Amino acid sequence: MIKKVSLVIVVGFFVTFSGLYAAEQRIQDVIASVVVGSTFKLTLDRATLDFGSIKPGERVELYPAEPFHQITCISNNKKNWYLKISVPADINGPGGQSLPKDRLKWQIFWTNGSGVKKEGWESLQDKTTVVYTSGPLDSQGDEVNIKLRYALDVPGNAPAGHYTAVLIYTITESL
Amino acid sequence: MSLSLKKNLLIIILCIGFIFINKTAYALFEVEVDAYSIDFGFMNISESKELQDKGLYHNEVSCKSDNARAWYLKIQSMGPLKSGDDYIPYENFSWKAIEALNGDGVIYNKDVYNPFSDIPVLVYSSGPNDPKGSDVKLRFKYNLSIPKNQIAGNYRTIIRYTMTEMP
Repeated sequence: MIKKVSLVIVVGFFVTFSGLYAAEQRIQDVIASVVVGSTFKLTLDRATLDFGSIKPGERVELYPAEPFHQITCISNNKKNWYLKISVPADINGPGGQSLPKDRLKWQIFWTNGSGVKKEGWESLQDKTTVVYTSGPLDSQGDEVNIKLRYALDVPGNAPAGHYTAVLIYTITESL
Repeated sequence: MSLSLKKNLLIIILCIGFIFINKTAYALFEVEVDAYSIDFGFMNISESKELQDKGLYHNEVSCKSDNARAWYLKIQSMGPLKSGDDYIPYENFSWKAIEALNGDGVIYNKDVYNPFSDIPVLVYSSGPNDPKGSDVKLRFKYNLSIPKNQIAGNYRTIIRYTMTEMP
């Protein structure tokens, strides 16, 4: 009997005073969340290529020793992307005359990107051409700047007049 | 009364006595949150957003104690906001304690945005009347800035509020 009572007392004291002197703690958790959206875009700092007045048989570069304009591409999708150029039609002139599109050339002057760029002068073609292929660091949200320059070789028999063409730049995640 | 009955009665009385004392020892001590999410929704790179959709605050943490012992509340993030291998740095995600309703304790860094950390940071320590059963309500708001080079994705983490008694 005394043992039973003693046991009850000892256990009771242990449970009671451990509760009295132990520091209580309670925890509550909540979830924090955000969806960061996809950014995939390109911008041009200049949108008009003006070669001015050119004589037949002459070649003019924009510019001979420096870039003409800059294309800025931004992607945070962690996927490869491609900057492409295309010309829907020949270089149209007066009276239905035109100059072949391959008379207009482009060249990458400089880029801060980690990808693959075309080297040297490239002529515009009927098909869409890849200008630049992104590298491993180019799809993490930072600006990839690509500076280009252009050249126009006017044929010796080109009729006089005002000629225009439209160049289209596209950024895609598929080749 | 037989001896056996007296023995059993004594044991029962002792048990009831300890139960009563323990009921007192394990009285009210709890923390609750009125909203279980801190959801910034959709954001673009370089965007910043402040969550205070209840006017001046976003959520309210309710602390109750009648143990007659001082207590304190801490806050921490159980990791940075993370999406796969990508994460938003701690310094871009912060909290601010606005006020403590029904409390007479101290709010630390009140009205100042504090970046989250995985180390618990002291928010509030109770005043003289707080451990007497008051429902002390701490109100918070939150701010998030998306870095300009943040990868797109669905980012999550757990925010933990810990209420602890002084030993």
